[in-house]
Amino acid sequence: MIRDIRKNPFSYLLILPATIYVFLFGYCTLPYLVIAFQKFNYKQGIFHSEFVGLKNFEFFFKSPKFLEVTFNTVFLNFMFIGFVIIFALIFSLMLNEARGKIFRKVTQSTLLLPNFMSWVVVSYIVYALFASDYGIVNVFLKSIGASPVSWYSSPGPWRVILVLIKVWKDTGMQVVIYLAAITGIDTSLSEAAKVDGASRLQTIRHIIFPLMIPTVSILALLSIGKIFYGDFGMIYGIIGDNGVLYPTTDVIDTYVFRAMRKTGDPSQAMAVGLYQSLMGFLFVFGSNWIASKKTDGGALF
Amino acid sequence: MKLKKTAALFLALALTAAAFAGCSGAGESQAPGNSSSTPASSTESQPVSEPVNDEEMLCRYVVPGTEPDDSAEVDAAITEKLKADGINMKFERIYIPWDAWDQKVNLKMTTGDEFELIHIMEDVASTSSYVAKGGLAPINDYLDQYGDTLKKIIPENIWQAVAVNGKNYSVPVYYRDFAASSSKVSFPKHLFEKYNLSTDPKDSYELIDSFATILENENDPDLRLWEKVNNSTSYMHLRHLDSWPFTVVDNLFYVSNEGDVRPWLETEEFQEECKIFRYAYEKGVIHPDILTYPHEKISQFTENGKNLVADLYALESIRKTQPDYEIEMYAIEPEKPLSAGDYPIMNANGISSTSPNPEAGVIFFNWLYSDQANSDLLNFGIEGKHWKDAGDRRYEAITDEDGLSAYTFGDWEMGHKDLVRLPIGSPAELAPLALEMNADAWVSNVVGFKFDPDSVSAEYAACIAEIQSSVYPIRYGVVPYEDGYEKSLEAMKVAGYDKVVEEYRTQFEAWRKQNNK
Repeated sequence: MIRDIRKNPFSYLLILPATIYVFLFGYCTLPYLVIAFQKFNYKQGIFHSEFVGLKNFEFFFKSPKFLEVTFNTVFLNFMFIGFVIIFALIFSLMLNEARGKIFRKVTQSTLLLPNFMSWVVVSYIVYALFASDYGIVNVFLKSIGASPVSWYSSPGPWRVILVLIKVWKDTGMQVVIYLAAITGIDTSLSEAAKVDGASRLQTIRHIIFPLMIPTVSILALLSIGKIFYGDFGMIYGIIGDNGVLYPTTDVIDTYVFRAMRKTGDPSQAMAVGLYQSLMGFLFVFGSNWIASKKTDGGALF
Repeated sequence: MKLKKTAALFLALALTAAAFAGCSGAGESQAPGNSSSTPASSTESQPVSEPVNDEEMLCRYVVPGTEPDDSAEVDAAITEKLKADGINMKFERIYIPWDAWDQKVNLKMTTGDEFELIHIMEDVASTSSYVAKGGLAPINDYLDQYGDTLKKIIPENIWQAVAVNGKNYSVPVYYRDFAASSSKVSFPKHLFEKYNLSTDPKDSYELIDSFATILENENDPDLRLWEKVNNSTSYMHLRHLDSWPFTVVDNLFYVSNEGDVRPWLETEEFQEECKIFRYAYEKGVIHPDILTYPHEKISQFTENGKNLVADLYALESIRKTQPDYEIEMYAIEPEKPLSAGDYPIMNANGISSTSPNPEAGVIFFNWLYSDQANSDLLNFGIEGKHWKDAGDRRYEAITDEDGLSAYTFGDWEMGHKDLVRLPIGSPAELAPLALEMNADAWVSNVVGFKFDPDSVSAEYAACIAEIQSSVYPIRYGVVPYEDGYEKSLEAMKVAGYDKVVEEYRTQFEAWRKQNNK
């Protein structure tokens, strides 16, 4: 290890900031997990606060909303991960085949742009689309003689709307990663296929796509690690305090935020955070095991 | 190759520096004139700590908002004045932006960070919730020792209002009366006169009919009843009920004038509130997307005069675009007393339990309220540089060419009603509301009682979450009472509502017995 550091000092120097970050925020904060099992008192700190066992977990697990928000979190995240991957793959393969350089650059930039918008900005765009009175969608529906929909009073369509928003916002960044992966594929393979008479579609299907699987797998595994974490910024920004939409949109993070608003109990918040992390770890572990069996080089560890 | 290595070295160092810079909040900058009450950056400002000699006492005040440009200069001037007055104390403010307030305060307290004073907004996280977690230190002994002026200038009932189990942990901000603003409806008088509508409606239904007439004629899609702030009970709309006055706590507990505790959601008063809002919703007076509408947008409408429940404090801003705008403050059944509900005091400043010298906060407040000049220095900055005395308890802010001030500080943070001033251009109608207290207002029988939800914490948290989920849609009229009530009550009961109400009743009755109330 030391020999390797001496051999590649600049490479290690480059990962130094990330190492420091992970050490500080990933490892130095670990002792604070203990407050999930304490009645934490600011004055007494983590060493002297009363130990209460699993009492802090009761608030969430005994909650009548436990199953609903857990299901919403996992379901929405699966939808997000799956559809973003599918759309990013389609766009990256299409862009790779496109020959116009300017068209490629413009399309790529257009796809990437939403990624840099904050959820607050996105929430205003979504509201402009779905507002009951002057929303673009309702104005369009009225113009074709259809009845307008009270979108913010109808929980049904919101899972689809949220997935569409997520795809619109996140696809661009994954397209960049997939295009980089495609660029790394040995061109002699495609050229050989071409010599053998393979069409462009056959080349994509039998050469490029299989070689992208490890990248897709690793990105998916990294996302699965956060599958029990709802995207608070997204859900709270778009849905806000609208309880009518909660049956389909309320996730663990927004539920805990709402429940803790008044009491602000750090122990109960930590208990839920610990549950989310443990579940995420188990999911990553399981998915990684599957990936190691089914793909070549698609597993994280 | 050498160039690549140099570039890699430079990049690594830059990233490392950036990582550490990201951890620190130092060096935050903002536009001049940014009010301390404006949510903006999410970087916490840190005071520049100088070496402190043995005798010098620190008074570090954790406050929400964005740090004004000249805040440090004013802090230095305050420190200088403190020393000139014989108090060897250094005053520093630590600003935490609004959007990060809850998280950063929790983090500060969890990690045992030292500071002396922290601002408390009772309707966000109450004094009792900080006390329950050991975040605040009792100050009664310090008040006896160092707080002569403080005890005189703040009435005993106000001290009792912020006490927890008979002990004081915070200094209440006694700067404004809430009884009038909680009990009276304030509406745009000029629009009522324009359409020949009664300015003394007998109840809220008549008021809503008038609002609907205005909407039909004004044809302004933004003009609505934008009443969503704090989600608190609309006492002003319930004054016509025989049971008035009563108190509703956290939208969960109803406490009658006689002291009976009942589940708020099972009362006729709650049903009446829902009916009033549903009536307004059906008339189009409430926006169909009210539940999703962002708070900041609603505040913007209020500032622009688009809220049918107008805000007298926004009048100055409204008149910039609508010079003829007039507000009427009217109490339905005016012969009945006014009431501020369970919040006679909305803001307080707690004494941190992590402070090595907790008496500093009390000494500071005692000094602050002992002289008009001290209060002016904190609230308006350095006279001649940041503000001018305009006489008649008014001040004129000194601004740059863009009309921005380099120093602002809200009176809700540390102000006192006898010492605060109004801006020179503020409307004459504001003075009685801002500077006078309603001595005849009904004082709720829950004032001074602080509910400790610890023994029912799981159920309490579930109820708080559920209320927003299933009760607010009925409360704002989006879902008809008849359609949603049974389902929402059932959800609340599953969340443990009965147990929480029973615990509140037990604690409240024990408190009344103990205090002979």
